[in-house]
Amino acid sequence: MKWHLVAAAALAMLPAASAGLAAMGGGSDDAERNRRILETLERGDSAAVRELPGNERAILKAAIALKSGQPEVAAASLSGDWVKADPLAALLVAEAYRQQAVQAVASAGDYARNLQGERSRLEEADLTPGLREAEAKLDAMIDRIDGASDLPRDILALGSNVRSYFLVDKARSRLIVFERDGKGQFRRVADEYVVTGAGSGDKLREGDGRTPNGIYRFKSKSSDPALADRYGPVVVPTDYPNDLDLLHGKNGHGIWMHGFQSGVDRRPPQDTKGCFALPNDRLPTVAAHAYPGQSLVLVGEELAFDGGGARQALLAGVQQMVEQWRQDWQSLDSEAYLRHYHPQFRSGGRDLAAWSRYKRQVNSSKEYAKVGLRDFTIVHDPNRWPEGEVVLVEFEQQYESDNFRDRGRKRLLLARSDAVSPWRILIEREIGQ
Amino acid sequence: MRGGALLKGAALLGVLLAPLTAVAAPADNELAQLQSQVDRDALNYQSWFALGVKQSKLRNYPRAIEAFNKVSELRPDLAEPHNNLAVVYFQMGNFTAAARELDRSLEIKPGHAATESSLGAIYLRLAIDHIGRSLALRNDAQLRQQYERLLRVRDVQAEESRVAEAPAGEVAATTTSAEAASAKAPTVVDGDGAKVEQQVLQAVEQWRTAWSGRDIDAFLASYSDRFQPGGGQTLEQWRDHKRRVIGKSRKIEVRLEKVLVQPSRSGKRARVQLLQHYRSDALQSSGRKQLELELETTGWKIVGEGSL
Repeated sequence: MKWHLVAAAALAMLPAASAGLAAMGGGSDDAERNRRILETLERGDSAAVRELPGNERAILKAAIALKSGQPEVAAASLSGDWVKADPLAALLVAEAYRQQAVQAVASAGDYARNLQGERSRLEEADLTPGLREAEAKLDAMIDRIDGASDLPRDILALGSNVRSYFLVDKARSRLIVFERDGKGQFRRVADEYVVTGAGSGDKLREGDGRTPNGIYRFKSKSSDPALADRYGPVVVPTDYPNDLDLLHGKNGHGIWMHGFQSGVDRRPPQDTKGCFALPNDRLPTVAAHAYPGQSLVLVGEELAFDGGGARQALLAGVQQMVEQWRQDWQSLDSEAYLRHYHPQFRSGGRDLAAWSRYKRQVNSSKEYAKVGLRDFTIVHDPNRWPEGEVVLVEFEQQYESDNFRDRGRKRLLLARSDAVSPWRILIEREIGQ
Repeated sequence: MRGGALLKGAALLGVLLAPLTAVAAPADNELAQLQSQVDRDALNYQSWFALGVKQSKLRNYPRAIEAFNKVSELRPDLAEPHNNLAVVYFQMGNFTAAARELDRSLEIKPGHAATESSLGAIYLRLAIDHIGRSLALRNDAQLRQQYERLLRVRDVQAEESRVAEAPAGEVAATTTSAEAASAKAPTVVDGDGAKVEQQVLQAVEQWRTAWSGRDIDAFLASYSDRFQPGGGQTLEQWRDHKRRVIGKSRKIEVRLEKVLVQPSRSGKRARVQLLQHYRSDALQSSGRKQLELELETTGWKIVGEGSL
């Protein structure tokens, strides 16, 4: 009887699109690459492989075998008692068997009508989302072996006060850190599996269990023995909610980078209340690259990397807009200047109407104004906001007029509804040095 | 071993024996006789086969394995001993060995659908076991839902409806497959949460079925009396509107994907996020949706509905 109920609860669903570790059967390039990676793992002579503990190596081997559509190899590479005590290994074995079940049922063909339904239900139960830890580690290893040189598409320019940046890719459960080296070049210094909020999507409300999408900064860093049991050896809080979040009515607080509760080595990819967490044995080396106030944190999904073309085009468009804004400001032509502002604009307590009144009044009292901008940080927000695309621009501003002189760092948030619309200033504020 | 398992296993044995039973049909309590047959003629594979079947029925599994191995030694061209070895291993709970035997059977007799299907069931069972293991080590809501999905992969109702239609041989084979898949899962943590999810999924499925079947009363019954429709409509206006729309359609097809249930801590409320594909003769749309359900005396009812 019980099984009648259970069977009735089976939801009609589309077969899941193959993704992640599922055998893609994709291009021959992928197949060739996967074969090469599997061989590298088996040979074990590359540094990226040699440094892996034995269990991790078996896990990555199983992951790449699943990717290449060889579930039997995956199952065989995970043997021994440790597999039973390791939730990720057990899950990889489960996925290997699930894929073998799909293959078997597919071979059974149209032997019986309902095997078709069975096949799609089997496919729907794809376990690969839970295997993102293996996927993230595999990608990190592949990038290391291949010497990946592409840079994140969203990082357009970095000012002298940025020492490092952290990319949190929620869809891939991967954290990549770049830091400025002695020659001023940014280099990839960490590439780790990261656990994010239990809820999917962007954070909106306190308690929704989601990790916020956007551009943040680490505010501080501390090792507090009182927190170690729950959050690991170091905690690094971010500045969520920032101006852009507040403009959109997002709330909640306390989004940190931290470790795992003591005694826990593995956690599933979506398992925090909104923070992002790393295993305690990886956290200290990663946190060493976090400089409060000088490290950016980009959080998004499927962050893009690029050889340079798209980044250059985006950067040029933003620079052009900011230069035009500077010139229109200097010209004391209030109407030309105010055209650069977004209808939803906020600066402190001022909306666009209040800002326009204020600026017209200031401009009318001046004979001349000189504005100089330097030391730019320009970062594209990987996420889409209600106003469209958003870019963060920061610079040092030198202002001089017949009756006022000022120097300081400023932040603008620009938005445009689509790629052919002009950038408009959504938020403007002065920031402490 | 669950009740009935042996019976179903035995049915499979009988079926797979089909080509041979005409020669060596064992009567009850003939173990000694079968034993003396193989003692007399150790090269007679049919005697070994009959002995293997008898031993299996008596649950003398190691002896049964020995006998079937003997058959496959004498007749490496036969798939049947491997099929029966698979059943025996399955009954012993050694699923990997069962899968290995079915693989061998398929090497000998490629593309045999019933064997493939049984193999699928065993892999499914292995997958279920390993997810259970992973869940016992760490709680993971999304994984638990995939686990529940795997538990439902074999549609028992459909299996049973096939019993009357399909040729006898295939029936017994798949009955065992169903047995394999429906075999009880290992105990995992947080059983209540799983139960709530199960009930909520069931309510959502009833809602979907009623909607797809244009069963307006069942569809409206999925909603609570406290349901608040959007767009300034009263509940009565909304119901009238739905009656008109659903009544007018000649065809409605609703499919759901990526269904994620988040039960409240009290277990009396749940939020369900899903991707809905709707198609009627007039309209086709896909989108993310969120349902809020509450447990009422008549079951889980929708109290809120909105797109995401």
